[in-house]
Amino acid sequence: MSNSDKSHLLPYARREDFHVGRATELTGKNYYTYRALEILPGLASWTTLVAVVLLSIYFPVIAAYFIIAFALYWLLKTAFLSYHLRYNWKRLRRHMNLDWGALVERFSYEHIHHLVILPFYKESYEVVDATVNSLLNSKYDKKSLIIVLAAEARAGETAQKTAEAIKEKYKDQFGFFLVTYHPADLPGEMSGKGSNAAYAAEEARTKVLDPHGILYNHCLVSIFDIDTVLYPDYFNCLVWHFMTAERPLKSSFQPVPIFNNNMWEAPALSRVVAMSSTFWEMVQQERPERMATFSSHSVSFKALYEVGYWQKNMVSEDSRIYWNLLMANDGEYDVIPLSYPVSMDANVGPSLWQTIIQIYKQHRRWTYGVENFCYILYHFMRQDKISKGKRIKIALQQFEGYWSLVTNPIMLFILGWAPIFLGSQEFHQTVLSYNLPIIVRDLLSLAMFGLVISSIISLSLIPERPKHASRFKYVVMALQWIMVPATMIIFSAIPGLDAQTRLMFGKYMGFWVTPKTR
Amino acid sequence: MQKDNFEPTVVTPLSRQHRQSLFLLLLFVFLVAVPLFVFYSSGYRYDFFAKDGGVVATGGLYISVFGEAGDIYLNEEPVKGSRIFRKATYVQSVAPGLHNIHVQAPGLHTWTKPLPVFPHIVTEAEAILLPQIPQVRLITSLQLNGTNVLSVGSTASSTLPGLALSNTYLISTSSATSTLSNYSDNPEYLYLVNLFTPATTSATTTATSTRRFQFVDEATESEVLATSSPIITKSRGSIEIFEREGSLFARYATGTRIVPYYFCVSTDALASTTELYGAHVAYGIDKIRVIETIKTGGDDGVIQTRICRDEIRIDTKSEALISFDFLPNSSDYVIIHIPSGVYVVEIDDRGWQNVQMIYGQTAEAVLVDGGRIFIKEADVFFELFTDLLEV
Repeated sequence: MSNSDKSHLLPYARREDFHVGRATELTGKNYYTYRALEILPGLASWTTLVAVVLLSIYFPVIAAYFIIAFALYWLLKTAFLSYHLRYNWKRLRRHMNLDWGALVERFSYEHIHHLVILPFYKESYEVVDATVNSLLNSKYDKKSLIIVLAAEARAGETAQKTAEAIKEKYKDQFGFFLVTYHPADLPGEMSGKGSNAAYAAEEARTKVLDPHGILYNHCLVSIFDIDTVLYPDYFNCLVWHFMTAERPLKSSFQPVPIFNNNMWEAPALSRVVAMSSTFWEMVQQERPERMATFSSHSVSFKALYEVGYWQKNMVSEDSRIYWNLLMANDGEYDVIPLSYPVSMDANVGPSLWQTIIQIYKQHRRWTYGVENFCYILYHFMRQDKISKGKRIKIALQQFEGYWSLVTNPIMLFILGWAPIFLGSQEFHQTVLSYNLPIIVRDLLSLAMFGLVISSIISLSLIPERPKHASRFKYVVMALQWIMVPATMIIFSAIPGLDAQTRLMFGKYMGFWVTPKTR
Repeated sequence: MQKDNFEPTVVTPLSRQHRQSLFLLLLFVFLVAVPLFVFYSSGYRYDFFAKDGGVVATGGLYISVFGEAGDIYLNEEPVKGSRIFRKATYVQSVAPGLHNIHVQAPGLHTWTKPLPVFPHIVTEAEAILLPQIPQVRLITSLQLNGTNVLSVGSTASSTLPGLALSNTYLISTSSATSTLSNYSDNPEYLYLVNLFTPATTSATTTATSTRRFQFVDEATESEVLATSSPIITKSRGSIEIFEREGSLFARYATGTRIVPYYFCVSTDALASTTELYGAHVAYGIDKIRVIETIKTGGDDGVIQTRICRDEIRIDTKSEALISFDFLPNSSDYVIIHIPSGVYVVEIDDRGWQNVQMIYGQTAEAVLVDGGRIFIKEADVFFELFTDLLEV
């Protein structure tokens, strides 16, 4: 990109390394710095796990004390997060029952256009149709909506036919309806949602915004996964938050992704994992300073244009765009939680085993978001317009997040017993050795009470029971939460460790598209 | 989802101040709770009645039960400790000192032992509860439709009243050929006859035939010829039992990584080994094989030193030993056959060894085969059970 092409970008975004995706894109000292940052998370996680094992063998008493303290920390952390979850649940329910249309009447917002980007790959006509139809059912002026169905050229003829059929059905229902075909194998791009969405945004700019004189600061971009079904007041809620934001053009807006579209068809395992992801996002909604954008979100076109849209060369573009915006805006950028839901699909495969594999791959992709940690630290070393305190705080928060994601479940549910199995015979004769499993078990059992809250909340978030589903399934849905310790290890810690290890060894991941079947 | 009657107002996220207050509260709880939990898990307890300072260091008891389960009593008080496994109980917060433990259940021998408890240390023991009345199955030479047949003149008739039989039998009053023809040979009886028949004479057995060691078990057996008296060693797992100069001993095999706990005794500055475990144990620690130290940290954190003995003498009730073997499914108990009957003796001699009679008659021979105990009487065999038979 030449300097004249970068004139619309914010000064920091004009750097050659602003959109760095991996160490191999850099040279010299920068390469080694970035490579070291890629190694750091995996190294920290592995060191922790190995250290607990070694400590259990050689210093079982110290390991036992550490594990007891850690179990206590976990209990209190669970209480802390449950408090946030419960608060957000109440807020979410209230927001779902508000008449947002009436609330936004006091604003003059007719000038605002909504550019809705729907990247899709090979999803079926039914999946795409349900999403576009939910846009049609929204309580908002449809003529203000610019729909961009962002197809992939490499997806083939079937996907193309789906796109054209959808366009034919809905083209007259919205202000604009554009189908874009992201060319395959463009240089410097990785196949995935980021490159497709960036291409679609630029197409919309040149084909809709510019020709029709729509100002970039009057256009809100909402990017939705193709299985996203909107609740009717989404755009009103978005506009309300946009109009009341302290700095609306320097803010992203994050709804709560509830993975419940297919909740009645999904197996229990899939439901627990999906709802756990929802709960995590709900917790994050109550502490926005720790939030990054995730999955479906909204942002002003101006902000996007100033950083060159979503990154095209990496996997977790949904959260990376927030970090791009934070760096480019010298740290003056926010994520505003909407506490309003969008519905998405729980991960379901054609068989239970396939479902397990899909969930694992999806979570490995999500936890590969650890690549953002390298990006953040790399630019924090260079972006000195962000205060040092803020940089240190964010860096530590991110480090703790990725470290605890991988290590905490394994340490608690597996290595928590290591001193008993690995400790010396002398240790086995101590009161500590006998008390360790009892105390850890009791603390974890107390922490499991948090699951009761999860169970209650999840039941309130599922769609209405279809006629073919038995009432007994409510009981199953309430009890399914006992699987959480296992799902935390299998679908959180292990894929996280997998992702961090790949990054550590420079085995970079590509974008894996989660199959959407209904 | 149903609509609730909420006020039409937008709710703001939790304020930073609110969250910080909650965080600080939980941080305070954590900082206070961690040392409390660490001290508690190490055995420290607050004693409201202590004269100098309220904090005392306690120990624990881990009592497992072999065979039938029973109720555990500590100093005559029933224990309501946390039951970790089905047949094991962990009692915590036990004051240091000598404690009497007994385990009992109806119809079973009571197991009792005085054991010392030390601060921060769990004293282990395994109780064994065997039936007071021998639980047996009769095996006769003849059967009628699968039922044992006992001839009216059999010497076993006098033995049976003192036994609890698991099977029924018929008494044959006739020796007429026509009657005997209705009976069939019992193949199990024939098998046992062969089993109890001494092996073909060989150089080795000739040398050892002065004593009849008839146990044939999964435990390995080796004979060592000696000029004074023969030594037979039986081993199971890491434990070996052997006879030496008329006495029976147990020891753990050379190279054993984990020394069985009952070979080890803890040293204590305030009480002698004799006071804690008995004079016989104090005598035994002259043959020290291993010294263990239990630490909580570095060299300064040594909380106990344990001495592990080389061997333990098995109580044979001062009677001449006829034969011995391990109790099936255990290496911690020995079956001894002595003139007054058949007994099970625990190897653990701390305090004393519990000796429980399992067959009170003078058996002709005793044998362990395939995890089962058989008694030979004049013209019948008994299989001996260590559990109470279901009525």
